[in-house]
Amino acid sequence: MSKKWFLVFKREYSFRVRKKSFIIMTLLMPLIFAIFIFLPVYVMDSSMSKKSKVIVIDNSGEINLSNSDNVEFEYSQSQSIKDIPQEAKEKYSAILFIPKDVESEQAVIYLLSDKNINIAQKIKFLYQIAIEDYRYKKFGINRQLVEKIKTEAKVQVLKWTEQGATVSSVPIKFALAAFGALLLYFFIFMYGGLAMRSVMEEKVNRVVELIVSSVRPIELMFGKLLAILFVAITQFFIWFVFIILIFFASKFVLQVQDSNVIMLKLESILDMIKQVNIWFWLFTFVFFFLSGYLFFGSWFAAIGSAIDVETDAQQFVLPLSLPLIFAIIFMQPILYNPDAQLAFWMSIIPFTSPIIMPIRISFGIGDALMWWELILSMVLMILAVWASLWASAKIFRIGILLYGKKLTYKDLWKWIRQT
Amino acid sequence: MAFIEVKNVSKSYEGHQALKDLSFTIEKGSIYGLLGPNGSGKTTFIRILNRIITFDSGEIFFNGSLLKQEHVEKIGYLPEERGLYKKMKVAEQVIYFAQLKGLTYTEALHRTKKLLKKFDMLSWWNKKLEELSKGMQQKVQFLITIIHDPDLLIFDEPFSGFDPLNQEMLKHEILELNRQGKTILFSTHMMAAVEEVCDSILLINNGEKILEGKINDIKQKFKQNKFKIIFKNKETKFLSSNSFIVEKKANGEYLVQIVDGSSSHQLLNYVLKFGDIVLFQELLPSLNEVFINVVKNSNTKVLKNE
Repeated sequence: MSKKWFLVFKREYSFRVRKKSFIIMTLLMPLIFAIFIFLPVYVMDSSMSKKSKVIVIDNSGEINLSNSDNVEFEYSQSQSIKDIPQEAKEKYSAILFIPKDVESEQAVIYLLSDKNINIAQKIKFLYQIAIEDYRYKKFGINRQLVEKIKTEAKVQVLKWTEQGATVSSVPIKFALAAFGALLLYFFIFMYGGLAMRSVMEEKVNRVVELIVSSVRPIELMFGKLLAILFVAITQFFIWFVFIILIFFASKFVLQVQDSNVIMLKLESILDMIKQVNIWFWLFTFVFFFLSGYLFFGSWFAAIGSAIDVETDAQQFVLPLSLPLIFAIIFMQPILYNPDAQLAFWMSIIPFTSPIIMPIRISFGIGDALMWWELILSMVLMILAVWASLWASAKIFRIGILLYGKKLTYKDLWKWIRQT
Repeated sequence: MAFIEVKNVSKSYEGHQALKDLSFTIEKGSIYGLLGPNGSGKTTFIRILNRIITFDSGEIFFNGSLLKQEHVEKIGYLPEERGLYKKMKVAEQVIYFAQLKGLTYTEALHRTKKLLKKFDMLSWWNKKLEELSKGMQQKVQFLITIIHDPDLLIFDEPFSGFDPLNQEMLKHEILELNRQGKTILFSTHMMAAVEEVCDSILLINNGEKILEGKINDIKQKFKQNKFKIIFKNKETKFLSSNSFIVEKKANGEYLVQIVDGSSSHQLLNYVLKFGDIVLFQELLPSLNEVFINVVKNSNTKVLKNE
C-alpha cells in the first residue's frame, strides 16, 4: 500500500479540525462543564450573602422563630395581614402568618416578591423547628435528650477482599459505569455519523471520481476513518486538559471563597476515584471506543458510499443504530445486575459489547466480571472490527461509483460476496 | 508506437455486458477520439484505464507494460461529472490532487505557482472554490488534470460546461499538450471537435467496437463516390451517362454520383468535355453522418440477432 491514504488522512483531518463546528463544539463542552461546577457555587454564594427579612404575625404568641444565616424574622404587633402598611412590605421578602391554634389551623406564608423562590422553603423549615420546640415544651420533653437518642447508629460498609476489608466504592463505580456507557454511546454515534457524512459529501459533489483515479477506494476509506478517529482523539485530549484545568481552578476558587462543603465533596470524589483502578478503566474505555468506532464507523462509511441522497440513509442507519440503542435501554438493569445472564451476553457480542462491557468493567474484575470474559469480549471485538472493515471496504469500492440507484440490502450482500 | 494497447477486454456488470472483447491501439503522441452513444461503454473503459474499476478478461498495456496501479500517476483525468472540494482553497486543492498523483509537496507547490501564474489565476490562490464562477472552477479542474505532467491525458466530454471562449482555450491547450508529445484520449459527442483535433477514432456501441481508424481513412471508406463540380460558364449543360448520374444545382454547380466503379480520373476526363471547371471536389461524408449511419446499422443488427 502506498502512502496515499496518509494524504487523504491529512486533508480530512486538517479540514475537520479547522471547521467552525469543530472549534465551537470543542470549546463549548468544557464551558458547559465549567458552568455546571461554578454556577451552583455562585448561586449559593449570592443567596447566602443576602439576608431576607420576613414579617411575622403571631396570633398564638407561643412560637419562637430563630433567625438563620439568610432569614431574619421580625415580629409585628399587628393581628392581621391587612394591618401592615404597604410601604413596609417593600423591605421584606415574605410575611409569615401564624394562627391562634397552631395545631388545628394552618400557617400561611405570603410571598412579597418572586426574586427569591427558595424563601418559602426556608421559612417552612424554620417554622417546623419552632413548632417542634413549641411541642417539646408543651409535653415537657428535653430536646437535647431526644436528639441524643436519634443520633445515627454507627455502621460502616466495607468490602471484603482477599487483601482484607476496604471502604466500599460502589457509588463511584456506579457513576463511572453510567457515565462511561453514555459517553461511548454518544461518541460512537457522533463520529460514526461524521464518517458517513464525510464519505457522502465527496460522493455527492462528484469529487470522488477524481480521487479514486489516484487512490484506491480502500485507501480512501481507511484514510477517512482514521482521520475522523484522530479528530475524536484531538477533541478528547482538549477536553481532558480543559477538565483538569477547570477542576484545579474550581478547587482554587472554592478555597478562596471558603465554601467548605463543596470542597469536602470534591475531595471525597477524588478519594473515591482513587479507589478505582482509573488507569485500567481508561485503557478499556479507549479500547472499546476505538473498536466500537471502527466497527460501527466502517459500516456508516459504507452506507455513506452506497447512497447519494441523504434521505435514503435513514433506512440503513436505523438497523445499524438499533444495537446501540438497545444497549442503552438495557444500561440501567445491567448497572444493578452487572453479573446477570443478559449482561454477560450483551458484553460478549460485538454489537453491544462496546457499551455494555465498560459498564461491567467499572465494577471491577474478579467480582461481577471474570478475566476470561473480558478477554473473550476484546478478542471478539477485534475480529468483528476486522470483518466489518473487510466487508464495508467491499461495499465502499462499488458503492462509491454508483449513482441514481435505489439501494437494497440484496445489493449490499452481493457486493460483499463479489471478489 | 503503441502507447495504449487494449486486447480483448471484456467487462460485465450484473445483468449486462458493458464491454465485449474490445481491442484497439492508441498510438503514442496521437489524439484519439473515443466515440459512441450514451451507455455504449465509454465511461466504463475510461474508468478501467484509470484503474477505478477492474475488468473481467483481456489485457491492457500501458507504454509497453501491463497496466498497473503505478501507471495512474502518469494519467491525467478530466471526468465527465466534475467536482472538487467546495470549501477548500484553490491552491490547497491543486496541491492536494498533485500530491495524490505522486508529486512531493515542494514539487506540487512549485508547479501550482507556475500553473496559476500561467493561467492568470494567482489572485485566486486563497479563494475557496465555491467563491469562483462555474467557468473558473472548470479551469481549476483542468489545471488539476495536467499538473503532474502526465503522459496520457483523458478528457471525458471536455467541452461540456465550458463557455465558447473557454472551449477555445481548452482546445488550444489540448493541442499544445499534444505538441509536447502527450497522448490524448478524447471522449465526446461533439463530432465537429473530434474532426478538428483527433487523428484516429474508435466508435463503440453496446460495448462493442464498430469502427476504428484514422479519420481520413474512415471518411474514404464511407465515401459514396459523390463529386461536386462547378463550371466556369454558369450556362454549361452537363449530361448524365451510363457511368455518371448528374444532378443539377444552381449557378453552374452539379453533383455527380459514380455508379459503375469508374475512377475519379475518368470522371474528370468526362467532365472536361463539357467545358472549363473552377471546382472539382470529392464529397466525403462528415463524421456525424458516418456516426449516425454506423450506429443505426449496428443497432438494427443487434435487434436482428436478438
